[in-house]
Amino acid sequence: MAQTSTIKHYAKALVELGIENQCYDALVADLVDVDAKINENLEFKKYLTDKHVTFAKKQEALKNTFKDFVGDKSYNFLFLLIKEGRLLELSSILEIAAKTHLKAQDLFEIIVESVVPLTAKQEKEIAEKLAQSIKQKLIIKNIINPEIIGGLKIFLGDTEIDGSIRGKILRLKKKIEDYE
Amino acid sequence: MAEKKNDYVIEALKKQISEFNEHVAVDTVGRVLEVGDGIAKISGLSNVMYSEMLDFGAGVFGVALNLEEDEVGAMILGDWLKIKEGDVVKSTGRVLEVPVGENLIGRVVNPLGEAMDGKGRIDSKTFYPVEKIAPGVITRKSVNVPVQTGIKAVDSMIPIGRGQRELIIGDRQTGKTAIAIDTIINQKGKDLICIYVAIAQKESKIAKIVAKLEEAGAMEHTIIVLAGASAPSSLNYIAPFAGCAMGEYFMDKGKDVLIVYDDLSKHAVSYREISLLLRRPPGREAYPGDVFYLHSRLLERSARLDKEFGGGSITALPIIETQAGDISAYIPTNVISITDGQIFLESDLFYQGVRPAINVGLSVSRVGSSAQIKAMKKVAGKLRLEVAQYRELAAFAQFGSDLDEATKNQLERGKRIVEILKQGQYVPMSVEKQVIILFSAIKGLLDNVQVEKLNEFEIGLHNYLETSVPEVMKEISEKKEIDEALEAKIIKTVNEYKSTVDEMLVKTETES
Repeated sequence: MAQTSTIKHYAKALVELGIENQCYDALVADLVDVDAKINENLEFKKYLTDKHVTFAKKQEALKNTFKDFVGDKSYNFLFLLIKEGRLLELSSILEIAAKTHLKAQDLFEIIVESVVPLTAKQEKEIAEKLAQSIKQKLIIKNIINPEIIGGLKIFLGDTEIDGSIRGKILRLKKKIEDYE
Repeated sequence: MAEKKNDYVIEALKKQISEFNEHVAVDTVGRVLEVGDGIAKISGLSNVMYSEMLDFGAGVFGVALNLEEDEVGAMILGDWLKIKEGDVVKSTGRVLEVPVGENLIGRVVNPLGEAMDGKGRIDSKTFYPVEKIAPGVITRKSVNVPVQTGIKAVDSMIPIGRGQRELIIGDRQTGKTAIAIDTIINQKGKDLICIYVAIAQKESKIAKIVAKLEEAGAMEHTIIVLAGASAPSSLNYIAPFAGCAMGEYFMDKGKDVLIVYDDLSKHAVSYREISLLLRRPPGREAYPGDVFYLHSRLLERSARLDKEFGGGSITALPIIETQAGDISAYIPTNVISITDGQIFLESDLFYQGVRPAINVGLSVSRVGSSAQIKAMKKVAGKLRLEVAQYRELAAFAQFGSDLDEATKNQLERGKRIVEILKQGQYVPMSVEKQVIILFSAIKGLLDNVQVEKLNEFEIGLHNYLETSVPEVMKEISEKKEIDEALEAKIIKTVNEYKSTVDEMLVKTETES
């Protein structure tokens, strides 16, 4: 996994550049868009990563496809990745960049799984409660997961707080199994 | 009666309703990034401990082995095919531990302490960690109580004491396991608990061993820890540590334990497999750099504790298989240097019919002699010398035909000693009997017995001693040494027996 550290460097550079030039959101939005499009069209992806195609041709193809929808800086970043042969790692770079960006802003993202979407009031209450224990600002990402049946399942980084009905049933199951 | 029961239920419910609170489970979790060959890479799991058990769900557990910046390398105990990429892994907060206790005795278990013999579940309340720091200097005591193996060649020349680590080394099919099994059988009715750890052994072989031990009534004091040849290498890797943990429980109770690790070469191979899959850098013979530490930390846990600390002991008999007698390969040299001596078995001797095929020259016991009983010590010193001289002369005598009388006599004596040291499998012998027959051999009492008839003579002599003059053996077991009076008594008895078995003696020329 020597590659992870290089990916991290790209991600960090991307975030710092974005913050310095105050265009992080636009930059990332562009790149996420491009990433999605490339992954949709496998032929195109193959063409861009083909070693036999010259860099200039790839550049041209990219410009023709996305035209003005993508900013200059985003183009530069994509060209750099193509040149270094790291276009396939774009998704992971963006993933790490998102985390780095949150960290740079001293924010902590928690994931809350629920069956029905949380109301704004609920979100606020959860954020307040958890902020006390981890002493950091929080943003909440709500994921709808019908599998948990009811209740909430919260991921605070590596810590999982399981208050879901499914979790309770599983714990009960284990208790019965161990009882014998 | 029924009403009372209902009341109780209602009370319980009432209590639960009034004190109802939501229980949530808080766990440290990670996700599986990569899985294969019994190894998983997991992201997350911050604050996980080394050697901590990980719950992969679906009843599969793992052990954290590689703690890196943002991922954890773990080995999976059990069926890794049930694990998929992206699965949630929970840390358990417990380091790997195995059930220990009295109810394991007489059972065949896997390295996790689960029954393998179909005799039902083993319920144990006590757990011991698989990895544990060995007892320190202060808590230890030097070795001075013997472990009687019941094998003449071992008990006399390569004695083993309680708390010692004696390596059994040799090529395949030279009787390494046989020595260990005979030792276990010989502990019947004594105060030693035996643990036999089979590492990557064929299960058919283990089934045979168990049957033999049961037949000999030796399973009553024995635990068998079995990691079969088809078990994942993670189980093979933890097997000796698990066996040791089971032994430590008894040692802490002040009891004496004997552990056989059969065999550590396969253990090193399993560890190499895990290490390479975890991408640890390979070293000599592709073993990882810490393969010495692997065995030294295991064998260091064998100890004899001081009375103040319980006075228990763990004696270890590790086994190493060599390739074509090469004891200077990596793993053999490592383990030789860790242990307090070795019993070296040779295939040449084995095929010559010297069984157990112990090479007396290369075998040593560095601490065991202080654990021998005085009677045996008296016999053993002379015996070793005689055997060594015989070896030298025998090699020399091959070149010349006309030898002087003294040399001839010495050769004849040597032949008889080698013959006496031969012993069948599964027939361990009590120390008193050993002393008498070896004493007779070195005193020259057997010099006029035909070499071919010695085995028969020995059996007859022991029968005679048991039935006609039992006081001789009784005296040895009580006094534990041979004084002049006893010496005369033994010589008298042996001569008495000899006079009854004329047909076994060498016909002198004057007679014929």
